[in-house]
Amino acid sequence: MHRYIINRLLMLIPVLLGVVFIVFFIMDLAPGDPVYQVAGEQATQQELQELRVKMGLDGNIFTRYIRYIGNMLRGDLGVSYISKRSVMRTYMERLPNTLVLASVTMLVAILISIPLGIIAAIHQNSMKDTVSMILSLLGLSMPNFWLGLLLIMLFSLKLKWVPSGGIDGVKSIILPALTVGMGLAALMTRTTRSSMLDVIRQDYLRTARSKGVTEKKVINKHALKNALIPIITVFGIQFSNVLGGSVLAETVFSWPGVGRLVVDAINQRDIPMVTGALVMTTMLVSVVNLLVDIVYAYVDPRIKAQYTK
Amino acid sequence: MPANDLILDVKNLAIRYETEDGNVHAVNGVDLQLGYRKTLGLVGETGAGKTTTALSLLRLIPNPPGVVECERMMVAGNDMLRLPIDKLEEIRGNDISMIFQDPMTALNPVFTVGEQIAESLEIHERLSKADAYEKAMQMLETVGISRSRGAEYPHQFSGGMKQRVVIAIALACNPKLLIADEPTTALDVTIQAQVLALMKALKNKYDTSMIIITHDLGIVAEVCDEVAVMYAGRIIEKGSLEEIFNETLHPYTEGLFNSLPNINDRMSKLRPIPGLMPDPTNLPVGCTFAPRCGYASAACLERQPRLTLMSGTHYVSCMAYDDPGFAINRRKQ
Repeated sequence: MHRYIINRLLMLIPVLLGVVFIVFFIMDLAPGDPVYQVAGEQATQQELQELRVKMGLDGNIFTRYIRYIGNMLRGDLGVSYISKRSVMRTYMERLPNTLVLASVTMLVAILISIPLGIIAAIHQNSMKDTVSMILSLLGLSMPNFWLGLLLIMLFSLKLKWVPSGGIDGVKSIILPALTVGMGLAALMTRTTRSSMLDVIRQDYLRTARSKGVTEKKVINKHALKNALIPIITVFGIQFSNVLGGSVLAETVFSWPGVGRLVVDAINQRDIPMVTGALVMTTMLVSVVNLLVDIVYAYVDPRIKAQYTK
Repeated sequence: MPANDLILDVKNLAIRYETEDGNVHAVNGVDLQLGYRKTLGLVGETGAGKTTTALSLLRLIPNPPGVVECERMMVAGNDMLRLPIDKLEEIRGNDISMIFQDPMTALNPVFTVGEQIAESLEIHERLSKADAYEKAMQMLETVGISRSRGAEYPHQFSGGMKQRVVIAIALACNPKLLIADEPTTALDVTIQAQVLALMKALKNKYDTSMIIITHDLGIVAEVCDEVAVMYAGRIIEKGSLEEIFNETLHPYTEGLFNSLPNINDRMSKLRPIPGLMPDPTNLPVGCTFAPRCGYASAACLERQPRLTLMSGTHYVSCMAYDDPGFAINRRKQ
């Protein structure tokens, strides 16, 4: 198992190198020369050339790529064209906000989806099943920003229970987390339901019942643990998504996360900012994927056996 | 036999599965009685309703689609029909337990075999986790598996070993009644004998009453005291082992014996029973075996025969015996 984890961590290196290269290449294809953007219209050719060297934009794409990797290894992701501040520092200021929002969002999603999915599965084709499936269809099809606006209208403007935006104490996370979490819960509910339906007719649940295990424990222990793998998979994918930032929710709730940071940087052609943020997000997503794969091993011993082979 | 000497007393058990394509009549009026420390063989071909009968004794028929109707179902003095679910859960695994047919699917893949054996001990004997696990390890050794393997998962075991684990689970709390549903069918012939010997030894050790479901008359001859032959959801002949084997009455039971290969006459062909069991969604009015029966007369197709006491404890359900001179070919030889 330890060897598996070390192998996976080593595999991260080529993945990151590849991602940086792709981001670098795409950014290079984008039209417009950033030097003009910084120097302004009146700059002379000589001034432009000096600035180009200063900004590290001289040389071909490969030399710039190598230089970037070298800086990256020292924790330097360059300086923003717009704010002139360190990309790394700016990103790290925003990251905790996104991490908090992402974690609470996933918690909301789990708390809604797993009970709902289980109830739908054990009462398949009943009223309860239909209601939870309609709810989850609603969650899937309702645009995030729209749900967010509705929630703001009800809970902050009308009832004045929570602030409508910004970061101001624990209360301010409720609405954004609910908005994103309910959307994610929809897919996870469906996954939980179908995965439980696969498990619920298995012979080993009958064995458990024949031992005198209570029905509650048959479902929550014997069945759920077997149904968990697809649920964890979907969880991992969605967690990766929210780690990249939920741009719409961050915009609606003025939540200073990395999603808006990236979108703003793209709009302002702030290339070092975009590249740096994408590299960091890739790293986070890779770590989440690794964690998901490790959790698999603890849920299903057959997967663990494959890892240690 | 007075009722309180019986571990099992079932009267007029009927089970149907209500599906969109109609009702499947799996069991149609079965009476079963079994004394303490006795072993009953429930014999019949696939689809005769043996497993459904057994599951209903633990009240494990899923509803929907299954509907159980029964006049009386007493297991070790418990009225299984009227007990609430929490009382049933106390009885399952403790008074009555079951060895399932397919060891490949009967074990939960994500728990160790030790945990799975220990679970019923934790529930019924109120043992701590550690004590239950220790006793589970003893149980594992009893069925011939080294205790070091208790921490392993089902996928690390062979089929025969899994069946032993399933047996260990069923026997963990020394049940008064053990139902073994084709316990050796999924196993190699060499392992079959071992498992059978093991079950016999454990049965004697713990004074367990047992129902063995099988279509293998060899197993019946080896371990059973009494035999009930099932066909299309009914018991068509029952009696002591000697009565069924030496004084066979029902043409279907005769057919079962005839379809056994004869080791003394290797040149003879197998004589299978022609035809198939009737469709349980659409059972015939008359004797369910009549369409396949060599002795059937017109009367057999008209009404259902009743299970009638012929001699000693020997019952048969066949109208041919209305004629006192009737005998099946097996008896004439």
